[in-house]
Amino acid sequence: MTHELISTTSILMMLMSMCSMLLNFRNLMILLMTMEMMLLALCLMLSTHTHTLLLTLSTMMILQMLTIAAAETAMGLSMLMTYYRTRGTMTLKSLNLLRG
Amino acid sequence: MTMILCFNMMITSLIMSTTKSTMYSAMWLMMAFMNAALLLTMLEMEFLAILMMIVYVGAIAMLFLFAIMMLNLDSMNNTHENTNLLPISMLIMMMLTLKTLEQTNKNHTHTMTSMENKNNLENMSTHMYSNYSSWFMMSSMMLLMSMMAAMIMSNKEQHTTIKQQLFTQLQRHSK
Repeated sequence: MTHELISTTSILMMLMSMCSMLLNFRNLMILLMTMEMMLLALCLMLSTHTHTLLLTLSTMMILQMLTIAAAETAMGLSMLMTYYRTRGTMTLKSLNLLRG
Repeated sequence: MTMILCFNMMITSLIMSTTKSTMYSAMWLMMAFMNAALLLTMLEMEFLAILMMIVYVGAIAMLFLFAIMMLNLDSMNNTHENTNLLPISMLIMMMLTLKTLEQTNKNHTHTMTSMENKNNLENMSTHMYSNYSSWFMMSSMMLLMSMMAAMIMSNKEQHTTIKQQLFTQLQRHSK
């Protein structure tokens, strides 16, 4: 019962984070935070899989995903900072330079 | 107890994407990570729970907080509405939901080595240091690369240095 509950919550969290990513009208920082939320939902799903199927591969995938998430957050934040330095804003609407 | 934690996680993720202030979004993200750590403890994966608290809440959320405070993101909440993107985003959302809901009642079979009667840390370490040691080393290389990239990208270009050309400055011939 608990495994189905956690897997449904992870699926719902994934869907909610994808929806909030597409409906984000405020910041680029919120985008990075929703990506962390999506990775968290994936980690929860993999942990239920270790418990039900008795695999160790899922646990190791969670470890790898942790390191990937940390590295991606660091680089994403530094990119965001340079973007803020060159552009002055961090709104989503300022990404439309190619549109003219 | 798991019901409370799962409900909490969904509520915190909803609040995180809908608050007005960016600082509160980072706080709610931290709450979601704490709830996930508690859920992992319920699943008897206590090492991963503590690791998530240390790495996510202790490092990544602090990074977010520092970036928000340094760039002063709280006071620049302009609501430029991109409502011309709504139809396409609705289409993408519907496609994504359909594709995830397709997979709910399917039997995915896996063939892998099985867990013996150990706790979480011993399970991971027996595999990580012997069979999958290349994964371990690759993740350390990736962290090194991300560290170097973050240091290079956040360097400010210095326009105030005066570079000297000693030989041409000290030359005696006239032009």
